[in-house]
Amino acid sequence: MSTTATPTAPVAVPRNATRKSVLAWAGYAAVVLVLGFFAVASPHFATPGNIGAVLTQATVFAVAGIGLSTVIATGGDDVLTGGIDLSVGAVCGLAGTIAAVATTAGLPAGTAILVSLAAAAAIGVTNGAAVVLGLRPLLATLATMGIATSLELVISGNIKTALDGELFRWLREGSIAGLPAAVLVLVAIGALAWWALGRTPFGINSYAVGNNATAAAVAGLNPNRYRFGSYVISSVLGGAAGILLASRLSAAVPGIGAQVLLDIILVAYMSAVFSRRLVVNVPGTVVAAVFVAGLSNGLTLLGVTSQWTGAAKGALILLVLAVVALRGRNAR
Amino acid sequence: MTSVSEPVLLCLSGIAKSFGSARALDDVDLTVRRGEVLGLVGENGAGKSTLIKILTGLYTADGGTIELDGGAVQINRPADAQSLGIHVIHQERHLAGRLTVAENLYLGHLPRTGWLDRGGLERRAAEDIKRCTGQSLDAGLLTDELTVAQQQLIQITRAVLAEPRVLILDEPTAPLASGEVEQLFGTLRRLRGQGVGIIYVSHYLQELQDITDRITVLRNGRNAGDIHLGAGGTLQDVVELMVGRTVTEFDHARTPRTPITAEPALEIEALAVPGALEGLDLQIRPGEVVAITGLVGSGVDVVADAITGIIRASGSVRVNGHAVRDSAGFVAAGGAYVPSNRRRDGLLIRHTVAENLTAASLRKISRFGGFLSKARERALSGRLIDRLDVRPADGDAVGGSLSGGNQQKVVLGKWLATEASVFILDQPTSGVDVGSRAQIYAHLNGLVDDGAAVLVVTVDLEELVGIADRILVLHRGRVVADLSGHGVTTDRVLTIASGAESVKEPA
Repeated sequence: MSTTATPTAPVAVPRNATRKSVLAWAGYAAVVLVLGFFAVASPHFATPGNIGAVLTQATVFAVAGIGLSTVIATGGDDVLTGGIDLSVGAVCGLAGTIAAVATTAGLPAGTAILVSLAAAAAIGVTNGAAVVLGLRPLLATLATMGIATSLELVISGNIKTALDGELFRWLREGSIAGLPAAVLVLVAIGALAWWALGRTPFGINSYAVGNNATAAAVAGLNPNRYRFGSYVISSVLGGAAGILLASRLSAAVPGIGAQVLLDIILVAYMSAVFSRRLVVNVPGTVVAAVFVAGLSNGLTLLGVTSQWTGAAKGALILLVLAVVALRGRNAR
Repeated sequence: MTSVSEPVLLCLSGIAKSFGSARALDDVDLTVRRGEVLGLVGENGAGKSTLIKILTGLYTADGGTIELDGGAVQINRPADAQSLGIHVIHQERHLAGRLTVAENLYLGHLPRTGWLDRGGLERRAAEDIKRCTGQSLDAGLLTDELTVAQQQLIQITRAVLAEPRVLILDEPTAPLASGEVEQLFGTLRRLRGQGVGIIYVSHYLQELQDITDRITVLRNGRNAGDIHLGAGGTLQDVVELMVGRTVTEFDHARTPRTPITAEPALEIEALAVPGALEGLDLQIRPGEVVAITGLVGSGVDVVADAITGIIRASGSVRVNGHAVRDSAGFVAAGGAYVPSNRRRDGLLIRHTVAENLTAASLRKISRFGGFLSKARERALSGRLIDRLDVRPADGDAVGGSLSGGNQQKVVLGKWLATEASVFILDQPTSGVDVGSRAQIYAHLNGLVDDGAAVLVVTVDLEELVGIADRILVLHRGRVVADLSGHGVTTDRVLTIASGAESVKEPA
């Protein structure tokens, strides 16, 4: 903190500033507490194998969630008018399907990945163009979600397509120094995104655009350029998450996009809880993804039937939104 | 004080600007010398903001020339103005609240180092703020966590860091307390000493006396004159130039009304909105029109919303003896509210005139416990259309298609149908043509004669002096004067509202 200047006039430091940063840490504490409870309650939870499984599962949510976080940061976090990318789940499914169909057709893994990421980027360009033209992100991405879902069914013929190959097997089973490959991918993407959003002019400008587009424009930035870019980033990361997901399942499963969408939205919005500024952010998204994956895993280990996990997650979303709403009110 | 020997820095001559058929600026001249603080004043709509927007490249002038340091310049875009060294501190604080002070300060010019050193950036920001404004601020705080005055420091520092040749401040002190105003003036005096030309736009005339060397007054898009306060000019001269000597459209010979009963219909106690309004006390009796006025930012813009429960406020409001907590309670107790933003808050613009007129009295036009009767809707709305002379006299016309004046008649008519007894009207005639204005006033007078209590919130001084029995003047959130509406002049109200004359607190 900068306290080098000697104060000549008393500067009123808002009394709730400290309390708010304590609350940000409280978010992390709650995560540790819940995961710690599972570790104590179930002997299988904290085993290296299970932790690896949780982290591998978290990777998909985290990678796609980082993309969505970029959109929310740049578009503003108002659910109705701000940035949102509902197509991210469908893009996940579409990218996995394209990768599987392309490798089955004999394309090399690298080429298949490039083709599927290019298709994802095309959806992102459509989203970005629609938003820049002034369409509501919520509705525009709902439309492209329908398009991407439909394309996925057309390409796969609505049947499960096996995804096999050395690279995909490595993503599923490989490891370096005991760390699963998927986790290494998460660390790489997470570190890059954290740097880009948190430690570069690009990131600060993006947050500025999402927070107050007029202020950004007055400062000489072009808000639409940042908005457009955020949707492309979201779709490309959604596509990457889709390839990771298909690798984990050894197959592209039609309709998987709808299943992961809610979790992706949850982890992106939940990341705000771990932030002093109450904004979505990359480290928070990763923590939230680990938490959500750990929650599903832990509940299963405790013998809670899978029918109840949806209710548990729903309650969690409400809790997160309540915390954000209450803290937001305090900040006024 | 600067002497006239200082070279002219900025010279605007013959500036003209029209919007459609409306002339916003007509042959306006303005000069600023090096190291001079020029005050720029005028009533709302006099052309100040248009002139500033031309100077900052947001508008392009239709005619006239701009010279900077003796050479003619073209300003077509905001970037042109900035590269010429013309910077502005906007009235609206354009800051991103969830960014830190340092991030906002350098937004658009953040260092491209590849790895942003937050700590270093914040130290540099704190030093820059200290150097430019003389005040200390923790640059790591979020902008949302700052007071309005501290947010202003960011804007001032941003402008000073740009090393302006001409600095324009648009109502910079509206959010500031007096100590903070002094510090702003300290900064301006330092800039003046460095030869910067400063254009200072403010409604607060007292401040103009403290900081400006000369005041240019605009009226109706033209130069009304220049006043040198140091050389014999007075604030009274400024007010006279601003208001002009025009004849009012109101009947000043009206007889003072006597309230019908002594029991107040509207009682307001200690009504307060943080940062906007402090402790308003007011009682209005049936048969009385009270007006509240003030400059923009004085609290006049929130007072009606606060009374009617649209925005959260502390204090108590009683309508006809019933305590009011929200807008539904206000209406249930016999209140009627005509909000200032007619198209957004007053009228259902996609609904028909008949639907709008009956919207507040649906129970009256429904049958069998909840089925609306179109026949009753037509009958009730038809009566109101006749009574208010809504044009076109067509209940099926869509609300949004009517002229401003007829829209306002419909909004008012909605409440006539409810037989409300306490009327609150916020800027009731803004954007309303003269003919409809007169009709709206006639209806208000009729309502009052029938025993309604009316509160009009307005910044239109003519209107104020024309219709009110009592006038409350707000200044920086507090009532500074409680005047009789009879025999008061617009000059006097403006003088009080702008803080040029302090009036004793009402007892």
